[in-house]
Amino acid sequence: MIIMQRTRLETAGVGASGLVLITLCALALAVSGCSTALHVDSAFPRPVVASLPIDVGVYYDESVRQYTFEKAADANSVAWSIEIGPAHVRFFNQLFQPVFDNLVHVDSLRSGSSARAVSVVMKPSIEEYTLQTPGDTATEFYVVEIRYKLSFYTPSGDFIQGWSFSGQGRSRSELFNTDESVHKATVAAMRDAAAWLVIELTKHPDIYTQIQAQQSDDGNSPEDHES
Amino acid sequence: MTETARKITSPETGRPISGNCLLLILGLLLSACTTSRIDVARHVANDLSQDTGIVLLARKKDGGQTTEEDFMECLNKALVKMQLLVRIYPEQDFLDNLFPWFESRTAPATPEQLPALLGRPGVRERITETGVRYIVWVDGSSEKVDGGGGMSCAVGPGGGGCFGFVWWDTASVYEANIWDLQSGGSVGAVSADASGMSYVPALLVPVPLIARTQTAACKGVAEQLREFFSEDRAL
Repeated sequence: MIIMQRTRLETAGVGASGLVLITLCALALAVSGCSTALHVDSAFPRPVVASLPIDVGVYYDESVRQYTFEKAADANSVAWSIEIGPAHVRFFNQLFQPVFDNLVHVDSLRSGSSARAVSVVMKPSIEEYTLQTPGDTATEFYVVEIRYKLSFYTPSGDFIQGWSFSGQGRSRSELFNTDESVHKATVAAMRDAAAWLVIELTKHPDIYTQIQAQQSDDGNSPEDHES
Repeated sequence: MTETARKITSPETGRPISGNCLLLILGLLLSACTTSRIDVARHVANDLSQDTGIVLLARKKDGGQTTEEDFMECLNKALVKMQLLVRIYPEQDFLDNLFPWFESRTAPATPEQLPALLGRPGVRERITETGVRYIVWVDGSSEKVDGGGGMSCAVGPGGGGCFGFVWWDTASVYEANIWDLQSGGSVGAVSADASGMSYVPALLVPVPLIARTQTAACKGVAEQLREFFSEDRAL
């Protein structure tokens, strides 16, 4: 598990006679005015599931690859910049590979030809990331909630249906180590969501048959599911 | 001030109490009261060995655990020191190896759910690979239950200091439920409670005197688990 932290402090010029004053100012900035940049990078476990005999394509658009949560400083918290996009690409790959017999990456939703060797294309997206600090919740915990959407498309790129789901993670606040607490809460939220998703993907193997039947049925319009 | 005026004397003997005695009394005052008990005790196999694995898992909800990580660390360390007959399997390795079946929202809440879990593809095989036979579910936390007093601190050109007195009560309540993965049921439960009062008197410098209730409860649970997994456990 790697955490890269970058803290920016803006201070005025230091005069020798004002050393005490500057020290106090730096201390005040350290607790109130700094911004914390966090790069979430964690190894994720491979799920213990029986794989489904289906060929699936997965597409990651730029909004997932580059997803960064930004929060301005307020009365309860310092400013945060939390980069979670790259970790999510690895995370989804690790989740999907054992679930499907054959998983391939596709570069776009729309296929130039209809000869894509997959039955379904999935597109995971991060809808929202929320961070609550101990100051927000009046508890000892940092709480992270991540809302996702997994959309299913035909091989030619027509939307079939979407699943909305979320994960929640909590981590106890650690003095002088808030970034570690937020990192733990974020990873816990990702694992929480993954647990639900993996089980749902494997719980109803016939869903892929339904999806295929749905895409061949011209009478059906695309739908969205809250799962 | 005379020398005798500076000494504290025993009310019974009238003899002065030495510094060591004062430290001892202070230690006794600060030591948390601990009670521990085995609530339920049924059957543990009598063929325990280093091949028998146990794993301590913190019970999670809403994507997080209430039990402090340092409590789990304390419990693991205490059990390792006690050199149990059984082998302790690392918690995170177990969670990763059995992902996603022991996560916050998927972990079995009752032993009755174990057979269904063990029947899922690959789960029993993976558990066999880890060698874990017993899961010890740990739940509980240390909470501040009462407190009072006040303290004020000031800094001036000539220096600074604090004056006042703050106190609080802490209650640590933990329990451990033991499940047998082979039989697919619960085999026992132990628990430990500890409470204590902490003080911070300040006369220029604050002196924190903290009751270590969490450590006391950790030792209580560890001791009960040691008994539970001992060779001659007759149940």
